[in-house]
Amino acid sequence: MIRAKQLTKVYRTEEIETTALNRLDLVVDEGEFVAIMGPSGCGKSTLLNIMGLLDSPTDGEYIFLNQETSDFSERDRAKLRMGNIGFIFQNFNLIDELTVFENVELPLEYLGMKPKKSKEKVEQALEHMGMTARRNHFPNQLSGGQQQRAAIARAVVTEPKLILADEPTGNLDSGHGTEVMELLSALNSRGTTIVMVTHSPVDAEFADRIIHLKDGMIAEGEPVYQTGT
Amino acid sequence: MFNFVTHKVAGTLDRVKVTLGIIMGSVRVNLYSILKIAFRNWRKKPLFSVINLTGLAVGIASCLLIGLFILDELAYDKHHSNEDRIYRVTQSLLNNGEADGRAATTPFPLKQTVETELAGYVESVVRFFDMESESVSIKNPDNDIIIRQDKFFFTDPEVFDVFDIHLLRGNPSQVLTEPNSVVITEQVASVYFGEEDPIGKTLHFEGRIALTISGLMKEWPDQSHFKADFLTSFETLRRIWGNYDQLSDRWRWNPVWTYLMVEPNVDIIQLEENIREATRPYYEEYFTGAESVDLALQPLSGIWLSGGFESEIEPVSSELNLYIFGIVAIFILVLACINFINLSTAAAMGRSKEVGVRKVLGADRGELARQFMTESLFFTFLAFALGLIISWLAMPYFELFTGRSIEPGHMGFGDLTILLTVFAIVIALLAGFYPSAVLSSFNPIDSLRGRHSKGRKGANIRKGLVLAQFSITSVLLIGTTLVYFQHKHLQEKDLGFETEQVLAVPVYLTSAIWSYDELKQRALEHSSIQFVSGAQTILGSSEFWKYDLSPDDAGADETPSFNKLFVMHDILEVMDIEIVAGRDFSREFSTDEAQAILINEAMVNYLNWGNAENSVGRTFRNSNGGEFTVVGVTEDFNHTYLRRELEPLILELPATQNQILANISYLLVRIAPGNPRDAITHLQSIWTDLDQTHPFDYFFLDDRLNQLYEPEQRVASVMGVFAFIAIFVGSLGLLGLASFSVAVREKEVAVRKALGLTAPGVFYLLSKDYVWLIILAHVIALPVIYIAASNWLSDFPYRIDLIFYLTFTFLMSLLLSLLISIGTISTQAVKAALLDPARALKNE
Ligand SMILES: Nc1ncnc2c1ncn2[C@@H]1O[C@H](COP(=O)(O)OP(=O)(O)OP(=O)(O)O)[C@@H](O)[C@H]1O
Ligand SMILES: [Mg+2]
Repeated sequence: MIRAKQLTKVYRTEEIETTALNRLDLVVDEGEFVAIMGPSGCGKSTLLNIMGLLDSPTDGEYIFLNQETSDFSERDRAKLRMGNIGFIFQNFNLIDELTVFENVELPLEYLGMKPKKSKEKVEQALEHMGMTARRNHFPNQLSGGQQQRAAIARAVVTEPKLILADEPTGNLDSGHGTEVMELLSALNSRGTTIVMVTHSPVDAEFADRIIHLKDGMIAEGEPVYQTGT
Repeated sequence: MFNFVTHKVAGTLDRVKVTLGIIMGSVRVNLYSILKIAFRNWRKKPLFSVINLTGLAVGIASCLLIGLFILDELAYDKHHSNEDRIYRVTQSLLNNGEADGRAATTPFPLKQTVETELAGYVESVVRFFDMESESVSIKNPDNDIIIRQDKFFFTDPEVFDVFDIHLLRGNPSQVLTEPNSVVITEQVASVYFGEEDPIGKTLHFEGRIALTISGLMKEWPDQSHFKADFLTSFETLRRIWGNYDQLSDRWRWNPVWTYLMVEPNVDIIQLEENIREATRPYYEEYFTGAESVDLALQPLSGIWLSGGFESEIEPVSSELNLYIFGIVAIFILVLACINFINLSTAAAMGRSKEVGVRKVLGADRGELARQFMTESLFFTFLAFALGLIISWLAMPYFELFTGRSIEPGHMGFGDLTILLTVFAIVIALLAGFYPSAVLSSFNPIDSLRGRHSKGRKGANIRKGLVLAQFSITSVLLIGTTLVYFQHKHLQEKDLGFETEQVLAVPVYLTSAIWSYDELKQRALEHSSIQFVSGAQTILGSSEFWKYDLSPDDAGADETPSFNKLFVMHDILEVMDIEIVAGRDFSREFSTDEAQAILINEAMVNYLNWGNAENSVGRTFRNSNGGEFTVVGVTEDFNHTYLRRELEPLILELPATQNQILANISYLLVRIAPGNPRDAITHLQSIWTDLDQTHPFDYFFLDDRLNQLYEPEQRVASVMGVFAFIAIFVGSLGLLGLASFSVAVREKEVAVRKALGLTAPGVFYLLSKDYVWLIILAHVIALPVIYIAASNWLSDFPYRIDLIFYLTFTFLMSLLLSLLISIGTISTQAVKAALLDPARALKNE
């Protein structure tokens, strides 16, 4: 599903050049649950952004669903992303001016789904996340855990093949954190591929595989999982 | 460098692409969703939204009003179907090839000459003549209604072919063929005849001639450079004036307004040349030596905005006003749009998370731009609707201020709607483009992390725009204040004679003037009437006459001409003008009436006669060989209005009864301070004894002189109002921006406070940028104002000291701007200064 070859990302600012990713090779198969761990600033979020087609690499190849994407335009990347990738963030990133229901409905609007069908889908996703009762609340009327569940509902409502989660439990207490991890686990067991960045070894336990990053590279001694080839 | 350029070009191309996307692309998110989130955002910041909406609405309303005014001005005289073929002939007297002004009037016989010699080029010639009288008295003998009419004209029958005059009754080809027939307006008819049918009825002209009403015309449209209430023929004039044929053959006298309707496709430049050629031999008979005459053709539609020549039928407007108003309108619109842009981009920063999320969920840049464009389009339409309401409510006041009834020209409702819609869309695009471009350009990764890479750059652009706003408002503020001071200067200028206690009674063509001596003697019987005299025109007015008069030391080939006024005895007493040498006119010298003149000091200087004493006894000779002796020299005074320099002047007494009748237009009465009622009643009772034909009429000199400057004053006060609207709109924007920057910098302020920043320090932190912007804006405005003001002032012979007043108004504007903006900012800064740092930091 995901194949990254010699993936390199260099940030250039006026003073310094930061190599966030350094010739990184990575393969993720369909149905996998991968956790990415590593010290702060090692390039985890950068990797996730490239995997999510929010950003493009400076060098190397990134193949998603059998398409080489490194020379895609912003528009092409948006197209490929839509419906295929769901995002979950540490700070939830719900739109404050929209209710839970409207937040979850948003990706379906961009997919151009008929309102009737999309209402059904939203209800379904909310029910799944146990958020039906809060559907008309605004984000600031919810607890952190509830906000993250709404965000997950928004990520899964399009039934994406891949879910990318950047420290999804980072802003939650352990009780709510576990709740969220259980939801992700359940999603994975129904076939959704999940790549998650985390600092918590407990959360990482939910994954099938843990990748350790260091200085933009996969840490020495870690087995690089290879399939097929 | 090259990289930089390609980068810029790429950026521009990108923007063009986005713009095209905005216009052409589709939006997947429906309108309801867009407006829903827009409304929730506006509701979240009510002050901000109200400020934004009000600013834009007020700007749009001002622009609409000014726009309508300009359209109204441009529509003058356009209602005549042959408008593009009608020209007015103007005449300029040249002295050694140099013109001293240009008159709207021409001689009587010009019509005939043009008709016979330029038959193939000119279809018709129409003249208007008002007897050079301010008004004539018209009476209905049946009910004794008698009124002075100032829109009475003698004209040629072709008037109905050339001009579109709407005849309600009567056949245009016949109404003026009979002598002593007259066409009147509906309104005049109702005044004299009420409900009765006026056709065939009689009106008495000046108590002497019976005119029969042969036609009824509609009131002339407001957008006409002059209006007529009465039209009669020159055949009628022939019956009124015994010596008409003699007078109407004079080329030296130019009392009529002449309009030509040229044949289609005539080369106007060539025609003008031909007319000069054709008339030259006639003019040369009367203008010899250094003098000559220059004729020119002025298109009908250009008359209203020409600023006016001498002897206009009615005062006209000037193009300059249109430019001034147009610039002010554009300024205000720019201010309002900048407000909108600044406030919207500022507000956009608060929506970066939304943009990030939408991008992550699949929206591309064009689509987001369209979303925000839709918002601002909607917002602008809202403001536009509000602006329409505001302008509709303000219209009566605007009309009051401009002294005009505004009609949207000849535009139909449909045209107007289209124009307004286009206007609204242009504003929406202007105001919405930049915020949309900024918002849609946010990088999703950065926005979701709460990092604004564009934040800094946006801030600089906002500062640039605020700078533009401050520059505009300071130009308007300084400009308006300078105009105000100049007008005050003119108004307060000592004309050199008494204006407040002087009452003027129009006597031209009345029978009262036949009994001038009796009138004067009986008037003086009243205790509050101190002096009585008469004059050709009121002093200080725009009227003056030039006569050929040669001083005794002039060369044989010189034909100098000077301003001369006919006055009656005691004029200096009435007007409180001092004699500096010699003596006043006196009844003790029987020769005074035929031979004496007074000159002013300006004449002494102009002729280099040394001093006033030496000038007494010198002589002038007129073109008939008559000799006049200077018996006295007066101090200088402004006998024409202040748009002209103080000029050399000769005062002369009329020598005969006929000269009195022909030249004395006003009785001038000096009354004692206090209540003038009694004096007026006294004058009126004498008047009714002496003249039954003309109703008694009077005015105070200062009132009339103030009227002279009224059009300019109106423009000035309208400008003043809009300058303050501009400042208001600008301050609204500043208020919004300040409230925003306080909100954005809340954390910064909190941190600094935690580190020991005091409340005044907070205030300084938040306002120092604006202080510099205001100072910089004034520095930018200064040369602009200087150039514009010195240009404008150069038209005035009496003008304020520009450097002094500019310094003054500059400092005043600077201070006022600083006060207003610091006041505005401080309402917001107080919030920040009172902020509890602990709470603010926790909120983050
Ligand atoms: N937009 C950017 N401009 C410049 N440098 C950046 C940018 N984004 C990230 N970096 C740098 O790239 C490196 C990797 O950043 P990244 O955000 O991927 O780290 P991370 O592993 O997610 O860290 P954390 O665990 O703290 O979230 C860091 O050194 C960071 O400073
Ligand atoms: Mg990170």
